[in-house]
Amino acid sequence: MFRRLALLTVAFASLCAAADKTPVTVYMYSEYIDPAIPAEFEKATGYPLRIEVYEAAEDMLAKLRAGAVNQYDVVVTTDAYVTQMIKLKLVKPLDQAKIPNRKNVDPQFANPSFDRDNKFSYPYQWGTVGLIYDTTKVPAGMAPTWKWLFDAKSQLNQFVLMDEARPMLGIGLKLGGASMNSRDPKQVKAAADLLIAVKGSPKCLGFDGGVGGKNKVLAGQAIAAVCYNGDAVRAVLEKKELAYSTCEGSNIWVDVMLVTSQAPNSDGANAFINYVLDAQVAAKISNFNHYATPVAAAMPFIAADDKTNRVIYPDAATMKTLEYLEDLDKDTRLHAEAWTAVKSH
Amino acid sequence: MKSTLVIDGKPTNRLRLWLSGLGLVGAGLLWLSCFLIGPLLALSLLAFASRGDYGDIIWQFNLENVWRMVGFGTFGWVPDNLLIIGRSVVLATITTSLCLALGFPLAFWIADRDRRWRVLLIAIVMVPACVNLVIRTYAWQLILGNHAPPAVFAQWAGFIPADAALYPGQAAVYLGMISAMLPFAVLPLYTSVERLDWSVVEAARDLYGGPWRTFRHGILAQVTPGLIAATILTLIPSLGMFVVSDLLGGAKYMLVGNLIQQQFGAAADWPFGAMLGLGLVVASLVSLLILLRWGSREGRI
Repeated sequence: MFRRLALLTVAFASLCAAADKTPVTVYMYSEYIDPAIPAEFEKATGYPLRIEVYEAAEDMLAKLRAGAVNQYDVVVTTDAYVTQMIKLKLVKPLDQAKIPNRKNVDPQFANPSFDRDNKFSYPYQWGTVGLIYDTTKVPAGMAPTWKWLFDAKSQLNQFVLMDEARPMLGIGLKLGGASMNSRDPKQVKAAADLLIAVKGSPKCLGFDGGVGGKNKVLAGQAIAAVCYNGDAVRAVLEKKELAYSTCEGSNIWVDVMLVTSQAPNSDGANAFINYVLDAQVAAKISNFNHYATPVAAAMPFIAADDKTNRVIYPDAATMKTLEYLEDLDKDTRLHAEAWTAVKSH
Repeated sequence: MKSTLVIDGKPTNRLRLWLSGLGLVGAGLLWLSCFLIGPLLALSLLAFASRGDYGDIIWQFNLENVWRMVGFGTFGWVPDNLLIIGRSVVLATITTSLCLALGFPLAFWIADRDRRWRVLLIAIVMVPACVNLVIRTYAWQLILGNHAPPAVFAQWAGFIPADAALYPGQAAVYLGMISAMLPFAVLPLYTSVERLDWSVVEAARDLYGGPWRTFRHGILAQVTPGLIAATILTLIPSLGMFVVSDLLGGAKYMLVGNLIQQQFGAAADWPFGAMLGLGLVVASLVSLLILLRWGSREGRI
């Protein structure tokens, strides 16, 4: 009797100890993590893991600014928003000692321009914006080019643009020989004028979110669409005739993990970041949704088909043509006004 | 207690009247100040603030956002915002007119049925309004998609090329707008039409009124309140609506709703967004006043 009681007490105590660990709440894009991860994370670290999702980075930003910084521990979002989040004090420096797996990060994604020395962030996954197209309906033997959309003489019938200001204006800027992050009103205006002409073509089906455009190509309604490479990978698996390219140059993005300034569970947050940077875990996450992993140590565990897939991992020559979108601080207005012009004429 | 007033046979005084009056309107007043006046005040304050470099709000009040709203920006004066506002007004006005033109006969037809049928028919009109607008609009994408029967028929008849869909386009946008707004036009029209005093119409006929005069003085004068309510309920929501034009129109053109969303979203310029929102509220109020004035004039005839 006594022994049983003692055993029960021990069992109860250990149960309490397990429940003692406050959960880690991660705020990220929807369908962006293998659903098996929460259970495995809890097993490995003892912290229960809660995943909360958002659809657009702007929604996340608005929510955090409205005071939700104390509701989430980790935020996963795109590089272009990091500067703003640091300046608005929505995130706090990481506890580097708790993230030994930081050594696993691929050097080309470590120490990024928006967060020197990875003071606030470590990368989660990365990808590109590009063109998905139907290989049977484009001019044979021609390398994929933005001219299929942007040049009146070579335009495909029909195509879809992406309903995102920065990547679309960025491609326009790149075609004009400028940087995607140009702050020169003349260059930005030229890119906007180019987009107005493209949009005005009867061959243009308009703007759509990346997924919507991809679906129109999949359904045969359009020949080409601007979309994210992650969506393209899945579309190409569904329909063999489709292909994806970043053409003459495009936007590369990296989604990063940050700890909110008032995280209720900072230790858990750092533990989560460390966990994701583990070689096996990073590979598991990337094998699930076919986005590229920035964790070099994870490469041996990436599915063979994905590792050799140029849609996911572009070759070195292509990488040189890709450009990150930077925070434009006071010139954000310049690009916003240019986009308004594109959408009003 | 000196009571100088007698109301409903009971003696009372000013203080008691004030208190009971406050008790009666208090709840409504509280509701209005929490959910209408308060937010509107906050919006008005925000509209005159300015954006910091990283999307933060700087509480220095100036008129810059007013100038930006009418088109003065980095590129000098541009008509962009005015084009967007104009396009929204045109879309809302055409949608409202079409909804009234379709809703009027529909309301008469329903009011003319048996009592049992009337309930069922009104329910059929109202049920779609219970489904989320975005989902309904996506449903139109499926119906108008390139492999669905309507598009297949149009392809076969040669109206559109093979593999083309019936959206995006203007016609699809209006189809979506009407399907979204029609219930809000039909319901107030129906309640007006149902209570119509047909003896007035008979009197108009007896007095040798032609079809137009009978309609004008016998019917229209009676249903004007319903017509005004229907106009308000369709015009004002459709002024701010942009989901339909984005999903069915190919998002080639911004509406006021998009412009405001852009400020609160990608541009992270909340003060300018607030100014645009304030502009929309003021424009709605002005059109409301015009409608109400027209209504009260019409009611007297």
